[in-house]
Amino acid sequence: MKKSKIEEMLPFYFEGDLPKKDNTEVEKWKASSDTNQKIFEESKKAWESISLLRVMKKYDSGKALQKVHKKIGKQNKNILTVIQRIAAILILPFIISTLYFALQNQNTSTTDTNNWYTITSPAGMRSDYTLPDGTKVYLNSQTNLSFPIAFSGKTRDVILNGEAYFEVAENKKKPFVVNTGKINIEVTGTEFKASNYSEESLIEIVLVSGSIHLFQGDYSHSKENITRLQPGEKASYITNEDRLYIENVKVDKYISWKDGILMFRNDSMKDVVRRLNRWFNADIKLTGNDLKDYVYTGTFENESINQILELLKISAPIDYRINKRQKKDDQTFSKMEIEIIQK
Amino acid sequence: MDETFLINGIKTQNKIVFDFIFHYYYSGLCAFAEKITGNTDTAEDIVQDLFVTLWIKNEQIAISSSLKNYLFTSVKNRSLDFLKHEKTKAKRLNVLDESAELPENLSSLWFAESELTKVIEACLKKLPPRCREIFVMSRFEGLKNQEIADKLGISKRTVELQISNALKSLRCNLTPYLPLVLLSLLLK
Repeated sequence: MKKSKIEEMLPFYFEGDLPKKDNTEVEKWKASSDTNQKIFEESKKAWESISLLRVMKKYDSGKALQKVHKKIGKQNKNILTVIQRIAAILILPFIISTLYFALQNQNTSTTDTNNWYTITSPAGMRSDYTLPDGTKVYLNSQTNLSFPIAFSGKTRDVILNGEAYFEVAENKKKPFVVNTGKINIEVTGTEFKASNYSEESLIEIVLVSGSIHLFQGDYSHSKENITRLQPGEKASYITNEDRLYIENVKVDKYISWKDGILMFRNDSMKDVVRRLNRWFNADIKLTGNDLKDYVYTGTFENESINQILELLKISAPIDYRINKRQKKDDQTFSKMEIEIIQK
Repeated sequence: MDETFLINGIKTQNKIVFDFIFHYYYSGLCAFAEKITGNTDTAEDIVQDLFVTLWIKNEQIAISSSLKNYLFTSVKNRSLDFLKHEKTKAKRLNVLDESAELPENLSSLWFAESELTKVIEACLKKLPPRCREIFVMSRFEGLKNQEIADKLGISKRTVELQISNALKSLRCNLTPYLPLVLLSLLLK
């Protein structure tokens, strides 16, 4: 059969549309010479490449890329969940049978402060200390705790400025009193966390187990009971509104700092930033209004601030910029300045 | 294209590089996965998941040969895994040795839609207008020969001849660009 005749058949051969008789013709022709073989192969490649292009055109890489970005977002969340589970196991043993408070307030009380010690935990650091009565205290970043050389009075008074976690030695006859100013706490023997940062207008008290009394005024002279907290309850006192809110909370995120764990549970970006600032002694600023409403969940244990920012970046629509530290007049360096920007 | 730049971009989670690679290879990789799995949706899932892994495990990715080989080999392996999983025996396929990477000398032209389009369009332009029209209707618009004949008021025989002529012309014009191994020929 003539070459041109065979070549006419090739498209139909490739498509499998030829009658069996013609198929055999094509194969015979192909096998009869190297030139024919070459023509056949090249035709086939050309034909296949056209088909390939047609198949490719079906796929929309733009739409697919959006899906991929979504899938990446989900995967990142899954990774955080795994971290949370690990953290939960670490924390659980010490939640049991412990009691904590978080408490924040401004000024300290009128208690006589002669012969008192003050222990301090500097910015970005956490420390622990045992008080004269055997009470163990953990101090969070930028916290002062003052207490008498000896608890010689009717009560064991301490003055807190910042955030602390207490494991109070039991002594029912001598209540342990944390003075924070606006709201004070009375405990007879338990563990709790309390904090009051003067730059914040919010006092938080979280009780894990046992029970505590909240009161205003001086314990001995002008005590005004406010309420009694139950385990798992958080009291929030907004100082400039003079209002107290009590709600049930999952306590672990409020106490994990004691063990060096930074935990966020549906916390607003504003809150996340506030806590990161204290944790790392950094100065993070949020740029973009919508960011303040973004809610974040995550647990960090040994991560650096850069690693945390990177994780935030892939799970939230943000970017960040770190400014170089400046040397100040007194030869110390300024805080690490970070700007978080809405994308 | 500087491969090192692209690979570094993936390792450092550079979004622009990632998106670029995605757009560049996506349809080719899907076509490849479709060839193995025989399913368009599966193909897309396989390729998308590969890119998700590429982003998330960015630091662990070891690209020993070229990026293109890495991508196509991964898609091949994932597609075969899928078939195994589905217990759909790949009976109609006689796939190459499973663990082997694709040949090193593949030309990227044939795997990137943009490049392939460019070459083929240039060749199509060399066809006489009527011939090109008929060929496009047949190969890209999926019309049957009889439908084309009816539409243009010509005989089916003429349509067939024109398609043959187009193929002949394409063979001559495309051959210089043809790689040694064509994607679809890897799978018989």
